[in-house]
Amino acid sequence: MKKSLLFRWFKNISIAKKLYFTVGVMALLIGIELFTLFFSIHTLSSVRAYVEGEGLWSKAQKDASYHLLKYGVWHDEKDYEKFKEFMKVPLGDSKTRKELMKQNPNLQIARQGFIEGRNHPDDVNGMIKLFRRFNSVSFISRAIYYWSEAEPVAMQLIPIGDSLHNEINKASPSPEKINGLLQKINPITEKITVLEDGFSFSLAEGARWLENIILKLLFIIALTVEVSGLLLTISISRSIQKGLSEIISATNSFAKGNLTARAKVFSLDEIGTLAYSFNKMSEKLERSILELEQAQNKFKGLLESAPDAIIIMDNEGIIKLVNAQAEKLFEYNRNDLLSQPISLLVVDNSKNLNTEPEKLFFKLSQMQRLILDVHGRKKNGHEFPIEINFNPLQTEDGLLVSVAIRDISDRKYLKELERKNIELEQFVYIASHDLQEPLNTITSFISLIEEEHKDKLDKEGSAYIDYIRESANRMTMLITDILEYSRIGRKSKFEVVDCNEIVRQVILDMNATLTETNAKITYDKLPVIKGYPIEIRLLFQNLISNAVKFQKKNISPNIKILACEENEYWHFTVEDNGIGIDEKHQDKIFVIFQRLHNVRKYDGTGIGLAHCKKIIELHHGKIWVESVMDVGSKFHFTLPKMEKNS
Amino acid sequence: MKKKLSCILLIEDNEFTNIFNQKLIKNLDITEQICVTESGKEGLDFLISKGRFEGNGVSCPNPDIIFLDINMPGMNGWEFIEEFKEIKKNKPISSKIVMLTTSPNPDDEQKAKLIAEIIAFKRKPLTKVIINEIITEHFPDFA
Repeated sequence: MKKSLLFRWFKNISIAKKLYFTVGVMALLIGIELFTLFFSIHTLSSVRAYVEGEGLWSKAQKDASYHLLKYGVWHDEKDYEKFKEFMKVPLGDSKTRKELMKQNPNLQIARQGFIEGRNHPDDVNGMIKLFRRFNSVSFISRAIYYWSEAEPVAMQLIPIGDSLHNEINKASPSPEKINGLLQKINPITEKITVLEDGFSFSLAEGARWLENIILKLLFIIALTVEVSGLLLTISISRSIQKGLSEIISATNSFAKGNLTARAKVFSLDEIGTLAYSFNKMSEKLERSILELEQAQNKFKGLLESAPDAIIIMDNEGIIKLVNAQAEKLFEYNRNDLLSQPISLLVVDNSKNLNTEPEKLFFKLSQMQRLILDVHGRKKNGHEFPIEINFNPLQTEDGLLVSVAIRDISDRKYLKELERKNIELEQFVYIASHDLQEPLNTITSFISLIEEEHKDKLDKEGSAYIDYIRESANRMTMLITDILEYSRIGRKSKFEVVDCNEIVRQVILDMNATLTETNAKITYDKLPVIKGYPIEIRLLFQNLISNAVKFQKKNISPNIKILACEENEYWHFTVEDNGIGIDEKHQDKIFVIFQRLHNVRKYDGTGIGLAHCKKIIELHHGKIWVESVMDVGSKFHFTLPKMEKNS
Repeated sequence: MKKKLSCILLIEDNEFTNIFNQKLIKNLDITEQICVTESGKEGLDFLISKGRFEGNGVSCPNPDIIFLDINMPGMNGWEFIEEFKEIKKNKPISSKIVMLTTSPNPDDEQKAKLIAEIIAFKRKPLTKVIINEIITEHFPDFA
């Protein structure tokens, strides 16, 4: 747990800190190694000092023994002095040993003792430390044991020396006594030699052990430095490499189009931050790309739903995109059109422009709207008139041009039809005018004959004259009606029309007829509309006069005119109590010159309701009838409401 | 014996109409003289004594009534009136014009109302009733 925590901490610190950390660990380990080296050299040097010390000790003891023997033989006081001088070495060392064996040694005294023992002052401190540090180690303690064993033996020389000195300085020294004393010296020396050997061996063995330990320690530390350095380096470089390769693979994947590609974040160091930033960036990019795609889809949707054929071309006139309408209009498959020049579909018939059509189109597309004398060409070669409309389109691929194309065959046909219609009306107008003149002549002269030659005609002749006049009158009526029919909606102005006023005037005009037939007309709150006043008046006049005319014998006409709102229209009804119209004839009555009755019974030209229909259609309304034979008819028609703001 | 108008001028391209109108007016016995011209141009010539009428001593270059047809080849009724107005600026002519038309057009009727010289706009054929109406209304002394 603790380790994983540390591991996690290490993972998440910055790369710089990781490097500092690694270098720090290495430095620490190297420091430890150096310290160990220093310590071991120091210790070994102290061991060497002991060996030297032992040498000094041993030499001093031997020299002391030699001078004592010499003194015993020659009785020279100088030898005795030398003996005492040499004996100071083991005494000094002894002082140090005894002090150091104490619980709380006086290091000053210990140092003093070693210096008296002729040790080099520079070695003294190290020797004391070695004694104190390692006295429990077997080799050292054994050496100390030999030292402490050898010491009292060596000290035996001192009482021997004192006794010898006393004896020699007596007035009459006894040679026997002196010999006896001298014979004690050699065995001491022999005994000490054995102990000295023991001391030396132990110390040498200790030194070897120490060397061994130190070598191993140094080796272990060096190994630790190298291994830990290597491990840290591998771990850091691995984590860097892992993070980087994750980012690289995510980047490559994203570049290849996988918009959901993200890099795993392994750590919170610079690499982790980089991965996190990359993820943020790709998230934003993904969103932008999706938005772009949506916009593109919207554009495509618009393109496909447009009513016109739309072609998008580049500045070379090469087709880049077409919609379904274009496929339909030109009867090509979409794929057959892409990368083709637009001149495949659009033919310039004007020919007066010596420019390649593609370049011309491009140039012209700079203008906002443009209609040329151009034709479209279908796959089968059939050409048809089109209206063409260019729009420059700034895109990331440069300037493109959207070309909207509309088949105007129908419009041309309609225009043609309209023109023919006008021609026809003109023709009807002139024809009826020209027909009227000879007719006028006929009626004029008939009246002259009647006036001036009546007495010369017999009864039959008078009847013939009547027939001619009646027919001529009827023809005049017919021609007048045709003329009026052709004139409906011509040169008339769209105005605000109050239907109440129109109906009131019509009733006033028809006063004579209405009185004669005892007709009753009711109307209430008719609307104000926008229309052609003369035509609207004619409409009401025709409907009312029909209602009065087609009446049962001996029954007074009762006519009701009503209007109600119906969406954008006013729905009018003109109801009568007349003879009614047979259902099978109800469609016929609005056709020009369709009569249901004999002229003698109900006069008229059969054009009145055709008039009404033309007038209603002129106002974009509808007219129809509802009728029951012998009960009455109800004429319905609709007229558009006036727009509130007009 | 009632008073008679001095002169009535007919301007009409249809020969039969002229014969009939002449006969009608003659039968009514309301004028001393009936003059017939067959085009607008001839009508103007009559008024300024030019062309066919030059030097032949037309006695009435200032007719009381001019019956004018609208639809004529060459100069039509309207064009005649424009020229007539020009002549009036230099000559004391007080003729009243009755326009006659075969096919009555509301636009024409409207146009006629705006011209002071036109006293009536009638549909052909001309009848006794129409003439009597005009006399009663515009020439009460001769009724």
